[in-house]
Amino acid sequence: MPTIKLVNVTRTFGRIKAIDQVSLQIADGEYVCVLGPTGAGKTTLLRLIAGLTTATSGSIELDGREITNVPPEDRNASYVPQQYALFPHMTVRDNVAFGPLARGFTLQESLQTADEMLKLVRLLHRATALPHELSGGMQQRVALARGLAGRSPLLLLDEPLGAIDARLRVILRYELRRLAKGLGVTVVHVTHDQQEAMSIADRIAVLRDGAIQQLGRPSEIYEAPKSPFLANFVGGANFLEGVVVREARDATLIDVAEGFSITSSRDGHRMGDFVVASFRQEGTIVLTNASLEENVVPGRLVSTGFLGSFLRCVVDLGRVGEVVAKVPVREALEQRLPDRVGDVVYVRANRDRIMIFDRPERPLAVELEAF
Amino acid sequence: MPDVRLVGVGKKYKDVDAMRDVSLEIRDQEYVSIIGPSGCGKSTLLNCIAGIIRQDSGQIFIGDTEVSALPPEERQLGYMFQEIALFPHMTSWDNVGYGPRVRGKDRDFTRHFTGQVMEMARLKISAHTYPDELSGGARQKTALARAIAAEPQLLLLDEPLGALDAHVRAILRYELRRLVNELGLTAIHVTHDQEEAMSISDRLVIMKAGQVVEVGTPLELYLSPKRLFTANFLGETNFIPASVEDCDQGHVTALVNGWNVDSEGSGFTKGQRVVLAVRPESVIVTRSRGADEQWAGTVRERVFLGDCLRTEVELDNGLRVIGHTVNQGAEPVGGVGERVKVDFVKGGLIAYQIPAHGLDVELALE
Repeated sequence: MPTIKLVNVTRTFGRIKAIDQVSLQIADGEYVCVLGPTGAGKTTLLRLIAGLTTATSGSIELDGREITNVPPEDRNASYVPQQYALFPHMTVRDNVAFGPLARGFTLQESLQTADEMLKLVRLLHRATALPHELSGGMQQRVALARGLAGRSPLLLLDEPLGAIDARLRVILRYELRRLAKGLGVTVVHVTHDQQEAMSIADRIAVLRDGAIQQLGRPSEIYEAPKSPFLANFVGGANFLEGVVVREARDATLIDVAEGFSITSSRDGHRMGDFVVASFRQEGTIVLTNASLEENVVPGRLVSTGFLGSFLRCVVDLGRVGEVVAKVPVREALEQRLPDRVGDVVYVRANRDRIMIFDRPERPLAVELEAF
Repeated sequence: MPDVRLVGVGKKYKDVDAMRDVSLEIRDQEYVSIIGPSGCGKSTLLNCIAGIIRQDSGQIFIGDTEVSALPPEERQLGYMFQEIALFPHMTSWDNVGYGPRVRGKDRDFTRHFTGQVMEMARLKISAHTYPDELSGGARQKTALARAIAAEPQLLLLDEPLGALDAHVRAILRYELRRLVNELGLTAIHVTHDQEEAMSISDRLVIMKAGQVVEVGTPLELYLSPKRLFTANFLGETNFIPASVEDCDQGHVTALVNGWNVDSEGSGFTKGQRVVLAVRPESVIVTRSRGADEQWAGTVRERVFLGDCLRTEVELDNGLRVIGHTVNQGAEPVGGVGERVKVDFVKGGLIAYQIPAHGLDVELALE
């Protein structure tokens, strides 16, 4: 039964710290996503657990056994790299059967396992095809099936859905989770796609510059991110810089521009603190008429975009800045929301959805940047 | 600025139709996305418009000119692909200024114009940076700026954001749209990402297996698609088998495993088997009010998606339905195992004929 424990793991390449003092504990049967922008160190972290690269310092334990210097083949983990390499001359079925066969299962057992795994990734009908006859997305699913077929209790997946079309990816992420839970395996899954991480993980570790910024359940990270970067990277949000001008037990008043202040029900900041007030796009309500409720700011519609279930409205609030609102499409149609650029609208956010962060040391735009 | 017109365009590879009988009209300054699963022919279509691939049949017009037989360089287009090829030994600035320079523009014009395009693309900060020092996002913007600086009439984009992180993609697509808007270009954008396409396009062209399935605005196609494939491709949808009890004036009363439900639809006869399509955000999950209700069931799975919560309900008549509830801060109804009732937003259900080739074939994404 695999539990993984990383203690102060650091990995440097020359002067670059790819992984910087990472400590992380993963429970048996848990599905953990490592989420971060390109260059954050996600793949290095996964390769450290797989044993394909060694830690410069710190220790890694598997089931209480120190494995920091144990070779990959003795770790009982199955690693599926982003650049999956299928055997080009072997059929899809044989590619998948190769794993169990190499682990000493009989040919018949191996082929049976292969078919089961191919069925799970919806490719059984292509079992006799050669890899080059399949699309990139299909090949990636074959690689995934091959990883699963080894029956390792620990599965290490690097962007396992990266090459798959957007729409199919959404379907497969739910299936991948169901699959992992059904097999009872422990999974570490690396991705840059926050929606994928949220929909699939028990817990998410957000990585930036080699360090874990936050570790928690998807709802924890979304509802209580620890920094503006996290709020922006996981889910996206609106950010307004301001100063706390009044504090009471369940209301903090923040001046965000001359003559404009907003109220948050979150506390923990003192009068005079420089802060960033932040609220989610789906928690940003667009009104066509003025309202006497709190936290209403007038503005002009800059643009609209259709996201499917939401209409995305960009609103210019003048001195307050620009905000994005995601309005449920049915509501937008019923309310006959203006869709002409330049129309006057009012934006509102509920006080209990307004998060407050310390103003970051570097400029806000740099803090939010994840390029 | 050009209209683009395709008449009966087809292309075969060996004996396989990569694209069959595609006719399409794209208006001046329109932003059109061509979307579909991999292998649907969308890139072939774009490459035929570009002149990189020669079609076997049909005609292509850009503006009033038939370009069917013209080489790419005589079609006055700009294009940008997923694999960007910037000149590695040139700075961003020189990459962008390459177009005007090779077209023989004088130095003052080139400098002024390059500066303008860099400004519009919000790239001034990286003007003196070489491609391999740029972030993925900045490289992509440089490639776009270079395509635009060549002053094309028509911009062709093949997965222009494909190589980027999800987060960066979602930001850059709006910048791309803004830039095309400001310059008044006509753009054709190929992508597998339906959300990207919907969010920035005037119209969408949905393709499958080499053919155009449907053309329309994102809103039309998302809310009232003519084909079940379109409904499925543009986002998660519940497909519910049903039979028609009554059909009158655009409304259908349908029977689903013994339960009644109202749906949109016309032209059906009593007793006809149909498929009802409903988006998860049109499924309302509330607390069950009591026993023996219709449309009651048990929550089997709940996933937090950030802006909404996805709930899978197993109804007492055996059906499974997915509902999305917008995140409103408060803890919503429906933990796993809880008894709930399912309602549908008015107008949220649409009845379709069962496709002749079967529902699974119609919905298939590959």
